[in-house]
Amino acid sequence: MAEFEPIASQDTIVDAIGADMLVVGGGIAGMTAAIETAEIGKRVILVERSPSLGGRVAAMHRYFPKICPPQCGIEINLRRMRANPNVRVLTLAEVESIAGAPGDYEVQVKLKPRFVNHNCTCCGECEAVCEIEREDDYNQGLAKTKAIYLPHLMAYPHRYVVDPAYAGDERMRKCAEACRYGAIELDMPSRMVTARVGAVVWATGWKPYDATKLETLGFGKCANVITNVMMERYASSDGPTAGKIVRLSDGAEIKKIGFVQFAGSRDEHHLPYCSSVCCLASMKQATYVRERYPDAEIHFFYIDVRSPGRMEEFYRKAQADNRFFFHRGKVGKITENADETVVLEAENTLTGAVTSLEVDLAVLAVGMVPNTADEPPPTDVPRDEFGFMVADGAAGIVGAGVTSRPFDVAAAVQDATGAALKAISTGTGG
Amino acid sequence: MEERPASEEEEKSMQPQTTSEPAIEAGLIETKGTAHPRNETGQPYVVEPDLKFIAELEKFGSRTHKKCYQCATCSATCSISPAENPFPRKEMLWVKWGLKDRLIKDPDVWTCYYCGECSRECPRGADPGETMMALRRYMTAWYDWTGISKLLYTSRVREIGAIVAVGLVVVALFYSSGAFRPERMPTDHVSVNTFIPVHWVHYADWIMAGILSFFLLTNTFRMWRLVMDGQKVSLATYVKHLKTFVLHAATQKKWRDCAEPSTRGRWFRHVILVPAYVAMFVLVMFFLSTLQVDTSRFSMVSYLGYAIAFVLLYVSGDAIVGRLRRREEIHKHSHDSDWMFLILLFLTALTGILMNVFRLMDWPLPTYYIYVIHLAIAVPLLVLEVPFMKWAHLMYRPLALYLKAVKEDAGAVRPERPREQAA
Amino acid sequence: MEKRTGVYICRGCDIGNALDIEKLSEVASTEMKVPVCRVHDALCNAEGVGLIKADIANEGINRAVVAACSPRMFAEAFEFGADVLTDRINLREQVAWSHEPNDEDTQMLAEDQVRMGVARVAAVGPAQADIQKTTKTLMVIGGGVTGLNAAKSAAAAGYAVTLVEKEDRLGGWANRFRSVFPKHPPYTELEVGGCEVLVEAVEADPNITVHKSTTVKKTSGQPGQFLVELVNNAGVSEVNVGAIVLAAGWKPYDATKLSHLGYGVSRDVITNIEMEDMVANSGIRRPSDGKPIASVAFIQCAGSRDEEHLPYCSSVCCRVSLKQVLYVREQHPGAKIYVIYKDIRSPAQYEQFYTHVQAEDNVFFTKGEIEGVTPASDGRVTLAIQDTLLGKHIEINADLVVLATGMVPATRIEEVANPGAAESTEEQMAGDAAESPDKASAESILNLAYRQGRDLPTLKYGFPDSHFICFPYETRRTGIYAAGAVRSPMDISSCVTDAAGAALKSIQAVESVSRGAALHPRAGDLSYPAFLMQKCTQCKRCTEECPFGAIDEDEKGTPRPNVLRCRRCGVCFGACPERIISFENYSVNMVSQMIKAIHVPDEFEEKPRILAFVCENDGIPSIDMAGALRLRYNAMARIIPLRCLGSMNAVWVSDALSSGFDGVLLIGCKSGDDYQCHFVRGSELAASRMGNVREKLKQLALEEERVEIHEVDISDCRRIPKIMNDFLEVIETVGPNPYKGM
Repeated sequence: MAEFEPIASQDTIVDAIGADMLVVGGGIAGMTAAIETAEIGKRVILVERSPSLGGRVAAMHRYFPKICPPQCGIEINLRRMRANPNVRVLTLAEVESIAGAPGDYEVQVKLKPRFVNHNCTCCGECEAVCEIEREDDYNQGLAKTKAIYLPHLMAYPHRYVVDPAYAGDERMRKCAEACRYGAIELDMPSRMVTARVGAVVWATGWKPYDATKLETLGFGKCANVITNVMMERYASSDGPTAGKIVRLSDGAEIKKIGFVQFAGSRDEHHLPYCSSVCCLASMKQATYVRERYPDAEIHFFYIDVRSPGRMEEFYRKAQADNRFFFHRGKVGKITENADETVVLEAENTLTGAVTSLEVDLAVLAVGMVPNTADEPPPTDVPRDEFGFMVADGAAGIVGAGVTSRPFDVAAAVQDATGAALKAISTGTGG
Repeated sequence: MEERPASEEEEKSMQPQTTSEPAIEAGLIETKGTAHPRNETGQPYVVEPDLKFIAELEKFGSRTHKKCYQCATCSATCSISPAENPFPRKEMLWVKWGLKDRLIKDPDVWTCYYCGECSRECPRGADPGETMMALRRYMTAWYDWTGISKLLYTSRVREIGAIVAVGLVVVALFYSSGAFRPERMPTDHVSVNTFIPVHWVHYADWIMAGILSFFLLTNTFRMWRLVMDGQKVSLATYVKHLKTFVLHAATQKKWRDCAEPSTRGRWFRHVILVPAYVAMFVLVMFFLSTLQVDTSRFSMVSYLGYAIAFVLLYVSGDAIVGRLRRREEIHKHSHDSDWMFLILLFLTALTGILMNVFRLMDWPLPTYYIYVIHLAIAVPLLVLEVPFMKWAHLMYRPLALYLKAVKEDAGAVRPERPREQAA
Repeated sequence: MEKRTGVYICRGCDIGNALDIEKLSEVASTEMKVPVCRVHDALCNAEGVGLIKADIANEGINRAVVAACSPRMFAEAFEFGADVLTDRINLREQVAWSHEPNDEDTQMLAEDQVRMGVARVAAVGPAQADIQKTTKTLMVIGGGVTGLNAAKSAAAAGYAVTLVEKEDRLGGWANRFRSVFPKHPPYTELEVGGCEVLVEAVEADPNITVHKSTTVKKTSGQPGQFLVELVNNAGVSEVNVGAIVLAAGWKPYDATKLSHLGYGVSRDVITNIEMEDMVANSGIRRPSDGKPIASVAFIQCAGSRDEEHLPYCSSVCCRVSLKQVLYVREQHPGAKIYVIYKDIRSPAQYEQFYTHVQAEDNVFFTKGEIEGVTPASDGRVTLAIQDTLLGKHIEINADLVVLATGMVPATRIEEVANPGAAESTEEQMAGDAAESPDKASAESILNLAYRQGRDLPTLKYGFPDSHFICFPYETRRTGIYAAGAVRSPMDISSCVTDAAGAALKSIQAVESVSRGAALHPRAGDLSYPAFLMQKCTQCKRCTEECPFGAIDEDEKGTPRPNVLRCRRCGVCFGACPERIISFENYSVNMVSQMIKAIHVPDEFEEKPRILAFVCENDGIPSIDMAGALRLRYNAMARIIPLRCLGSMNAVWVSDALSSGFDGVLLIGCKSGDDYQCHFVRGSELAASRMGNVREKLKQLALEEERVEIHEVDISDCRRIPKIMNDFLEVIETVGPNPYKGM
């Protein structure tokens, strides 16, 4: 993407840009749709709302079933993009409107200010002198960053960004002065860019279901109840605990951990659909625990274990672990003892006994909510009752990844690649 | 007259009973989990869903059980369900599969107090609480050898019809006693005893009480036989646990363990209701002469009578309002029989009070007529509800708890243990 | 064109504060005698880049050595066109940020980095593409739902497609399904099966040529130039295609192996496929006597999720049975329907379908394990089931039993089907390789005329699936992509997207090779391997080790490279003992020159030197990130990035050790079943070459400890200092290399 990022970065680009395809969302699905399309010689604009690409997977510790790091795939996709002049990346960018028809869409994109221009070399001087701290969204708010920060080590564009909440803050002057390259512009304005494209791929991804809505499951009430998304951060070496998995209340070691499946999913009161990945994600996270605690007890509460295709093998591996206990029954109640040990109540439907299991840490396998549920594309595209975009819906505007179904990474990438061709075909007729 | 619920199905659905006695004993002793008593003996349990039973249950008010996918949130959430063989998940499964033979022997149907927690938490909206309620209605009908109960539960028309019929019988009795003749209805001032001499009413009460007790007790006997399921238990054991029966009958103590916030209030209302019933029964049976008086003098007894009447009025009224509001889980669905019971109870109390009001106002004719109406409502209420419908649970529920205790003592089912960590 | 090198040193980001830039530029200008050497405060900024551009224009610089930050930063900034070779020397992450500032060792490291950079650009030049005549026609093998969609979407994108179907009619399995389970909201109503509309569209499409009743006799050539021999009753014909989508689909698992589930024992036990046929034809009847049925039992995972049969889950059977439950409901509303499952698997919105079927009357679900299926005295079939929700042991009687049999990929060779043989990827590859040619030819679909075998290498259980979570369409045969149920068990809607995805990848293949550019993972790389055949000894290592089977052999065993199949990993030249293989911009000699350029102090200086060969996909980024985190480690290692550790040639190690290096560190990525290598077996091959290395060590009478191999993944940055420092300790205990200064 040489001609655009970072030399002529988005704060110097013209007001109107053209391309064969616009991809909305810079997560794994969006990146895939963009680069796979660019590699057949089509021009692609990739817009991402946050300051850097990578989306949800960038904040994951490992993928199942290989227990390999997502950064590996991000790295190679970024390398393909850097080497490819057909991709233009716009970060801090949001689609405001879409007009037109397949083959010729006019899309208004709002570019929010990064307050750091393309002179930034990531030397870190500004961060060093910055006095203001903010919640680190990359770490699920479990850690803090400075008000001027690098989203994460793999961030692309690899440039600092100022939290807009503090751009106006007097104390930021210090950072601006500390920068030897004149990279910090605290008065950077936001602006509109018009994109004329043949097709649109909508890949805005998902968010975890709000665990505080699961009243009986103790999230936010019990110190040692976390979500699967938080677990990914705790396990990562660049996470809030630098990769330690411990009881949050007292930092003690984990002797027993409980994985609470269907936290919100397959539940009329929350997400009636199945989020497809939670079973495997929890078994994956069990391997994090096993790696750190060779004889910790792992308890897994389920209704149906869903490990389709070859993933069955991953399930079998978990079953082979003799300290890994499967309980067929949903956890109905989570409370904590005086010592903040978590108590899980569930009936094992195969033995017909209710157990109140005491664990050091409980992980709620919360489901996936498509971002299209509350932020649909600004044009008329068919969605189902849950907010997922309907497959083979509108020609020219195609959903990719978790905008169309809860997917694991491989399936999301598969879907995004297919979506790209659908979009091109309907959009530009090739 | 229609036969008892699905009696012709009985043979088939009772199949497992054909296994040998020792097998049963062994099985009973080893019973655990959702396993049927006989599963542990090695003989597999032959499953033959009873479709007619499932269809019938819908009439008794279980309409959503099919949605259940056996996640057991209900059992885990329920705060009075025991750790071993918890309810209502297993009952939901048995209902889904139409396993009447298991359900009719299951005392747990009665140990549920319907606080509604399970229904609120159910991820599929299968409403276990209401299914348990429907099962209690069904059981009431199943215990009732006359089949009347089923007739009433399964048809609104029949239920209303029956009430009207019994009411008319009351009116007819008045008529045949010549009560409506002018000389029997003095208009200068109220004289109920001229209108209908108290000892006549008293005899009628006794006869009715006799008949009702006969039906209730015979039905109760059937329940006992089913729940004990051929198990031999020494008389001593029965005696030993009698206190359980009395305790629960009088206090409904277990109900207070329900975590549902609204429970405490409802429990309290029931707790004052029970003595109210008893007191009213005693008054009517033994002190009617001091109730049905023509003087405006008040006696202890009459005060007590008024008090009870107001209690009944309040409790039934409160329940009616609740069911209209449908705010709490247990009020979300109301079977016709629930309405009928509450309305009759409310009207009985109301008319009872009105009659006394008119009497004290010294309005002769209104007093006589309202009295007739009062009895034309109270009598159907008693005749239908006590042995055949809702009221019977005052007998069945404590009995179930009692028999469970007896069975445990005899080693039939694992003793209820508090929920503790899994072994 | 004469080489003119310019060295550009950046002072930014603490580099200036940590190093003596003066001395550094002297190394370039005086010692290495480069015509141009400039210093700037921020080379990555417009001004700095302008500086270099000016020199390219005015000074005729065509080799730019940029001594600044990691090549992973600002890559675009330092692109100067096809004629200029840029080398990035990492003075930031690898030097200034990770070592003691203004320290002698740090300075020496920086200077060696400059030397290596200059040596590198002196040894190689910018890649020139080898552009050959190629075709952009695509071939799709398989005329089922996947194949039809692949052909249709490729044609819609403007590409000519040749569609090959072995049957005399298009549509595949879909033709046999009256209905399919819901793909659209509210996900409760069955949708019409079959695919007449699609078939018509494909047959009418001018861009698509359909060959029915046709199979592939032989596939030879390479992407852009595949020559495919087709056979049908008319005889053999040849087609030229640029890329191939393998959509050969699936076959149901052989139910005759399921006698323990009553198949073959009772006529009233049938498979879900036979159920579909029954519904479509006679209607649901009891096979034994044709009587209407009063009860049906569905047995899930019949053969699937079963170590004895198919260890994997066939993914769709649960939903298929839910669909067939509705068939029964429709034809026999009074019948009792039992579903015996291990787990109900109705992922995503399909949960709604499960909920919908549950709400039907007379449907009974229970988890359970089948103990036995036997004919009952009353003419029904008795299912003995254990560990059910209803109890430990139960029995159910049914008039009809339907086995939910699973999917087997068409590419699966039954003999290697048993898990044992399928266990390891490598064994499976062997299975595909010439090992048993007769069977292969009996089973093979592609009949590849490749040295490494006739089929796509399969991962497990016979699925030619990608091993990469992030790149699900990759196969180990360049330009050939598997799609649909042949790749992994999947439902129809997944097949549709899979088809489009595979089509896109094959379009990518033909477009890239037409420009002489590499495919994934080094997409766009124009360099290609050249062979100096006169020196070849026919050792066959390159032809055996190429992870993508790019190199064939003639009868004498001389390699016959197929450049367009090449993924440019360099494994071949790592394998070559004669060093006859090289790329325009990456060669054995290049690395040797870089090693030579490094200044190795003699033993009296007591400065050990370590040579590190590091995989640029995982190792280099993690070293970068270690620097970004300012993690400190010793400055004794000289790092040479490799495209893949598999391209490590043993000769380098011996060169290094004989020229006085005290130790050699090899850093690659994870090997084994869950390998990470983008080129499949890089670090594994490197490890295997350690054999020769140890021999060399023996010859030189050197300690084995002097060479270590490590596997790191990209997120391992915090491990880097430990690896570096531990190895230095080892070297210090072993003592200095006696060959120093020779």
